[in-house]
Formats: sequence, structure tokens, C-alpha cells
Amino acid sequence: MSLLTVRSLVKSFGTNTVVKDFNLTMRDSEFISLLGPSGCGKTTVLRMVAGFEKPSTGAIEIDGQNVTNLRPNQRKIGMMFQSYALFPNLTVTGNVAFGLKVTGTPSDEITRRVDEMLSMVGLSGFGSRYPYQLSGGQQQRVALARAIAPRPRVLLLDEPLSALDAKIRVALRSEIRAIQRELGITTLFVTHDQEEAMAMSDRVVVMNGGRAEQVGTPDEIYNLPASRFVAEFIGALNLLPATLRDPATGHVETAIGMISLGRTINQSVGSAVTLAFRPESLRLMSLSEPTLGQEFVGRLVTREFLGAIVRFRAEVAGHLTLGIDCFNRAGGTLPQVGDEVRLGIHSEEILLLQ
Amino acid sequence: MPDVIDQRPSTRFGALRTFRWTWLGAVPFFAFSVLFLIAPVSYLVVGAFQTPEGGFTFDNMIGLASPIIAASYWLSIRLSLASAAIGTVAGLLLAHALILGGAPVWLRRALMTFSGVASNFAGVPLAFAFIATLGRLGLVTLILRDVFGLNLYGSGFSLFSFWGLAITYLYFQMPLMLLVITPAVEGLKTEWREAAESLGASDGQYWRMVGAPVLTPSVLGCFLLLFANALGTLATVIALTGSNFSVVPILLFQQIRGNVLYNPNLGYALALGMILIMSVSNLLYLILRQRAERWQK
Amino acid sequence: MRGRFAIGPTLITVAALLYFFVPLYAAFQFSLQMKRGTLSFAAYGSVFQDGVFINAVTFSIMASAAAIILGAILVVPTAYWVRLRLPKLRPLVEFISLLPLIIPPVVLVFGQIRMFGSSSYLPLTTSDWGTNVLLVIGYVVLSMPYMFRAVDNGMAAIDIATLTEAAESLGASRFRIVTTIIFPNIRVAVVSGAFLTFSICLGEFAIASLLNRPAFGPYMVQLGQDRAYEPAALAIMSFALTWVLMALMQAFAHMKPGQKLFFRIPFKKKSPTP
Repeated sequence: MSLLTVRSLVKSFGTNTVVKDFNLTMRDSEFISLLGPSGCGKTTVLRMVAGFEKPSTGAIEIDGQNVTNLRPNQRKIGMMFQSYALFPNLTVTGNVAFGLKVTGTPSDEITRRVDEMLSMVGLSGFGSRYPYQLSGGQQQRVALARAIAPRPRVLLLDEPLSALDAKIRVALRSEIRAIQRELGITTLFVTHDQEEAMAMSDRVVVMNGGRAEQVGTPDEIYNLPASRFVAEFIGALNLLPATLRDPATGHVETAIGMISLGRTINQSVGSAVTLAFRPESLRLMSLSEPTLGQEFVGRLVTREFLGAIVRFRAEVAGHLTLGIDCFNRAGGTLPQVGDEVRLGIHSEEILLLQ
Repeated sequence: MPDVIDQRPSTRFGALRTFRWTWLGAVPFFAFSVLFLIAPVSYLVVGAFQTPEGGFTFDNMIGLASPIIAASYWLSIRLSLASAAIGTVAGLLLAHALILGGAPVWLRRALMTFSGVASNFAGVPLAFAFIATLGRLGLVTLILRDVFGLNLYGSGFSLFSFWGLAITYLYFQMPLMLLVITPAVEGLKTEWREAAESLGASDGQYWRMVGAPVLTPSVLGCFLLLFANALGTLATVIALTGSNFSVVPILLFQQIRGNVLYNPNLGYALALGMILIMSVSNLLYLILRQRAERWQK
Repeated sequence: MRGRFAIGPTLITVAALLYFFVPLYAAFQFSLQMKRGTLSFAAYGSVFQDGVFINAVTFSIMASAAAIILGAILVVPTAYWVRLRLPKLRPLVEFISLLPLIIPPVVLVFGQIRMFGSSSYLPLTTSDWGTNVLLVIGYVVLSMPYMFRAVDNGMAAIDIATLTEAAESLGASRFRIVTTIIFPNIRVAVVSGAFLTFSICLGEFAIASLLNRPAFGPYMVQLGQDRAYEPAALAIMSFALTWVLMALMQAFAHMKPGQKLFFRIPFKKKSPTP
């Protein structure tokens, strides 16, 4: 069943419309990320679901109940903020108990629930500390415990990881995901970090200019981007301008020669298109290897060693540069800057952008 | 071995030389402060424990309990407490209205700048402005009499009395409060309120459980600052009341002018009492401010 | 944030505005009533025609200016040196410079009169000249908290330690560093401290009165006892002066390096004739 439904949401501040006709249906226990560059309206959508902003038009339903005109404190939601937003005058216990206290939960029930929450986030024994005595990661765990203690219907996360160090960020994101799975709590997560969105979500909503550009699983978003924006926003991408020569066979002409996409393209002959492919789709091939679908020759101009992968840039056709990612294998030999190389790619890995 | 012996004196000499030169840079400041600030104040402090002949005594400090002096302190403390309390409440309300109440930005900026001016606009001119406002022939007094039929002075009010002074002090106390409490009110993060709301708390619950406790140390600290500010006020009182309203600074002023206590050492004790009250309230202010800052991190 | 300006806050703000502006308006209106039946600036004219007024204001301006110069000479090098070479002394220097906030002026001058009275080693109060010096010193002490804080904040903002090291690494002498790097960078802070000092000292009453100086503060009190309309005119003028001082201070405080305080009238560069 659908737990959270957002219908035709529009939000304008004065003449500036930041959210335009946004729709989303979340299933029970689903984890969905709103991903996009800053200013794309993702936070505004989250804040409208929370009730901190009132939609200009549109409706929000939680569990079949229309909450569009309810105040935030009547919506039974949980929220985590980028700045933790722990109450500085309350201990860890006081913070986690806050939501239970204001709704009049009996005190023995509060004690039990707080202990349960603290052990869930791995902070048993920290109950009497004050927020300023905790590290950022610990504070955000307390914020998580505080948000889920009153058993909210929806958990809203407003970039909760972006203020943390890289290592803690990665550890905490898998922890949040694990707890979310265990409790089966429907979660809407706002982030500008595509890796975070990919790693954590059941589905990702890529937003741009106040609209949802694409809604899909992380695989779909990455491998089958629905628009040029999504393709360019997610991951690195090589772009190659081309002219369509044969729609039926998918033959296009580019600066590096004719390329066959091996599929029918619904456009007229001579129309300008853009070919796009990921750096990891390109393969550096030895002379002996049999050819892949498509092949061209280039000269390596830069080489960055990144540990697990090695990133090259190759110059092709004299003026185009393409990025190539290769796995680094101990004992393997990779070419050096200045080498002439064979570059191969499967034609199904080439995307066609309008 | 000879090496080490050779080196020692020269190193020591070098260290000694830089040591001296470095310290020399701070000498003018310390000399000035000791000569013109610390020594004169110490002179009073020591004198407070001396008989006119120079012997040690507690009589002067005990003398502070004599009816005239005790009454003077009591009046000063009451007036300072009242003016600080009114100033704190008014300034806090104004800060809340301006910062959290959604006042337009230009108004907020204008009032902040005005406060910078008004908190420095103490003393004689302030007294003159209030005489023109609430004096016997002041604008407000006349308007109340002619338009509303309310006789202020007939009903017991006088600008030259306790409450008149308190209202006048408010003119620099409220702006001072606005200036010093603003960082604390701005420090109440929007996210705290939103977090509380998302957890189901009402406005009242938020203020009772988070807002008020977070602000309290700052508010108390500012109250003490206002208290000390009022306690030291002299010029406004003199310009309003002549020397008839015997708060401690007035009494001390008269003592310096003409030894009205007939005992210079009792005058020193009077000054020491003021320093003590000022020190305690400022010290508490600093402690409370530190506590408040700990939360603001 | 709530978008609208709610009723409660609006009422509070209006009440505060009334409280702030009614006394100013009352004083202004009162100051215009010197001539019966008509509104005139006669009270202002009367103030300016009074030779004692001119003398008192001149005296106070001179005393304040002297206090500013002496205060700057005392505070600026100390703040610089302590930040750079004697960081351990910083808390002590800070504490001493804040002491005058705890000690009321009337107490301070009391101690000074006793210390430097006729029977002391340094009998400053026995001569006019010496008493004037003591007054200026009193003003320096009174304004020390403001001066020190302004200058010290100014130095904190520019990280003088790194600037000094940078200048030294480029081969500059100590004197050159202070005159060409440090001072120009904290000039703004010194100026804002100076304006605060000026606004505190100009109408100061307690010290001037107890030292029997013909200063502006005691003059105003006397005027308040003798006259009716002139004091109101003085109140308006002092308020206006305080505004001007604060406005100048704000302008200086927000000035960026190279910016002039007032707009320069742009003039056209003559294009070179071909």
C-alpha cells in the first residue's frame, strides 16, 4: 500500500516557483532519496511534507490521511537535520525522551523506550551526557534515536550526513539504512551526494529546477538515465556529438568515425544527437584482444592513480578528450601517459541523448 | 665537555637579554594602569580598613550599616533592581519581537543602530529630554492632563522620584539589553523549534522545555549587567534631582565634595561597598555568559 | 520563520518606538517654545551666544581629544606587543583594561584625588595644569575598555602574527612593519575606539565636576538648574551629535581597505589626444 502520497505539489516564494508539479508515491517501508543540485527544490519538498512550508497548491497524504493543512506537530513524523538540532539544554536521554514526553507517554514507558533507542544507535551509557560533550557522529545518532523514538509514520532526513567527516558519513549511512530496514520505517532522504543516494535507497528521485526528472532504482538511474540532466548529474560521462545517418540500424557519424548503436532510433536522418558513455565502459585493449562492438585509437594525456581504479584521459581524433576508468590490479601493467592505445566499447553501453 | 661549559653563559645571557626587551614593551601600559587605576582604587580599599590615624579597623565597614548609609545602599539596590528588571523584560520582549516576530529587516536594523546610540545617550541630556516629557510641564504630563483628564503629579507620580528615575533609566537600559541579548536570541536555532514541532511539541511546550532554559543564563547575565549599569549611574540622577535623591553614587559625590559623613575613611568604605557589588554582579555575568556560550557552540 | 509580522510583536515594537521617540519629540518641541506664542530656535541661539557654553564645549573637546591620543598611544602598541610576544600576559592585560567597567567613575576619581592630592608625592591637583592632566588620565581610564576591545578585535581580525611573519620573511624591519602594515590595517578599529571615547568623554560629569574643571558636563547640570528651554535644546543637540558619532563609527567600522569614507566626485579622465 502507499504510505506517503504527494500530489501535484507546487511551491512559490513570491514570483519564484521552486517546486513545480511534484508527484511521488511511497510504499510502506520504502527508502526514497531526493537527489539534486542545490536549489533544485528537494529540501522544499521535504519541508512541505514535514509541514514547515505550506504548499501553494497540491496535496500530501500520509497513511491515507490528508495532512496538507495539518501543523507539523500533528503529522506524526520524525525528522533529522543537517545541523543535528539537538536541544543543547537537555541530556541525551532528555533529547530522545522529548517526543514521548510532549505526547504524554507514561514515564516508565519513556525510560524503556529511550534505553531501547539508545542501544539501537549504539549509545547505551551516554544517556546523561550533554550534546556539546558528543562528537558530530554521536550527536547525529542521538538525533536519529530522538526522531524514531515516538514511532513516526514517516522519517524525513534533511542531509543528515553532510556535516560529518567522510569516514563517519559512510559508517553512519549504512547504520541508518540498517535501522530503517529493521524498523520498516518509510523514509524520505534529501541529499546532494549521488553516492549516498545510490548506496542507501530503494528508489531515487532526481530533481532539477523544481521537477522530478526521473524516479527509479539506483541501477535504472545510473544505467538508463531518462534525460541528459540525469545522465550528466549522476556519475562521470563522456559526451560525443554525432549526426544520425541511418535510423533503422542506428548508424551515427562522429568525429572519430562511424559508430553503430545496433538499435533503431526514432529520429530523422541528419538530426544532431549526442552519444554518452561512462568512463568505465571504455576499455583499454591490448593488441591481441578481439575487437568489441566499437573501437577507436587515442593517445593517453593524463593518468590519475586513485587506488582501486586508475583514471586516464585520452585524446582522440586530435581534439576530443575521453575519460577512461580502469581497475587497478596488482601485477597488471597499465599504459603510461603518451602511449597510443586501442579503446573499445560495447554499443549497448552507449546512450543516446537528445 | 669544554664545549658545554663554553656555551652555557652565552645562552643564558642571550635568553636574559630577549626576556628583558620583550617585557619592556608592556611596561608603559602596566605603569599607567598601576599608577592611575590600581593604586588609587587600592588606596580606597586600604583606607576602608583604617582609622583616620592609620590603624587597622573594621569600624568603617561596620559603619556601612548605619541608617543613612544602609538606606542609601538599599535605595540604590532597589532602584537598580527595578530598572534592570524592567529593562530586561522590555529589552527581551523587543528582541523577541524583532528577531523572532518577523519584523521587517529595515526596522530591525534601524532599531539596532538606534540602540547603539541610545545606550550611549545617558547622563545629563537624557535627564533634560525626560523633564520635557514627564516633568511637571512635560509634553506627556500635559497631554494626559488636557486630553485624558489624568493628573499624573496629583496621583503621586513624580519624575524626580524612584519610579520616575526607573522610567528614565529604561531609556538606556532597554537598548543595552537589546544589544547584549540579541546574539543569544539569534542563537536560538530555527532547527530546534522545527525539531520540537516535528516531535509533536506545541509552541508552549517548545518554549518551556527548550527556548526558555536555553535563554535563561544569558538573560540572567544581561540582567546583572544592567544592574551594574544602573548602580553606577550618577549624572542622570544629579541632573534630575539635584542631590536630593541619595543613591550611593550621590552620597559618595557629596562625601568627596564636602565630607558629609565627617569621616573620610567611612567614605572609602562606601566606595569599597560599591566596588564589591559591581564586582560580584560582573563576575556572575561573566560566569553566566560562559555557561550560555557553552551551549551556543 | 513565520512570514508575517504578528500582532503581539507589532504592538511591542510600536510601544518601544513610542517610548524612544516621544522624549526626543517632547524635548524638541519644548526647545522651540522659548518665545511665548511662537515656535522659534531662540533657545538654540541663546545657547550659542553664551560664552561659557563655547568655553565648556571647547574645553571638553580638547580633553576628549587628548584622551583619545593618549589612549591610542597606550593601547595600540601594548595590544600589538602582547598579541605578538607576550601571549601569556593577555588575560591580565585584558582583565586590567576591563576593570574600569567595574569601578564607577565617581569611585575612580575619588581614589585619584586622594592619591594625587596636595599632600601626596605627585600633587597633580594643586595646579590647574596638573588637574587637567588628571582629568585626561581619568578619561583614558574610563574609555580603556572600549579602546582596548576595539583595537584588540581589529588585530584579531587581521591575524597580526602571520602578517608580521610574512613581512619579516620579506625583509621588513620592525618599525616598517608597524607603520606600513599593522597600523593601516587596524586604523579602522582605532578610529571606532576614538569615536566611542569621544562620545563617552564629551558630556562626562562625575570626574569633571569633582576635579572642578570647566567642562561641558558640569556646565549642562548648571544650565539645567538655571534655565528652562536651553537644556531641551542641548538635549537635542547632544542626541544629534551622538548619532553623528555613531554613524561615523559605523561607517568606519564597515569600511574596506582602499575605500574612502565619503564618495569621491568622479571626474572624467582626459583621454590622451591621438
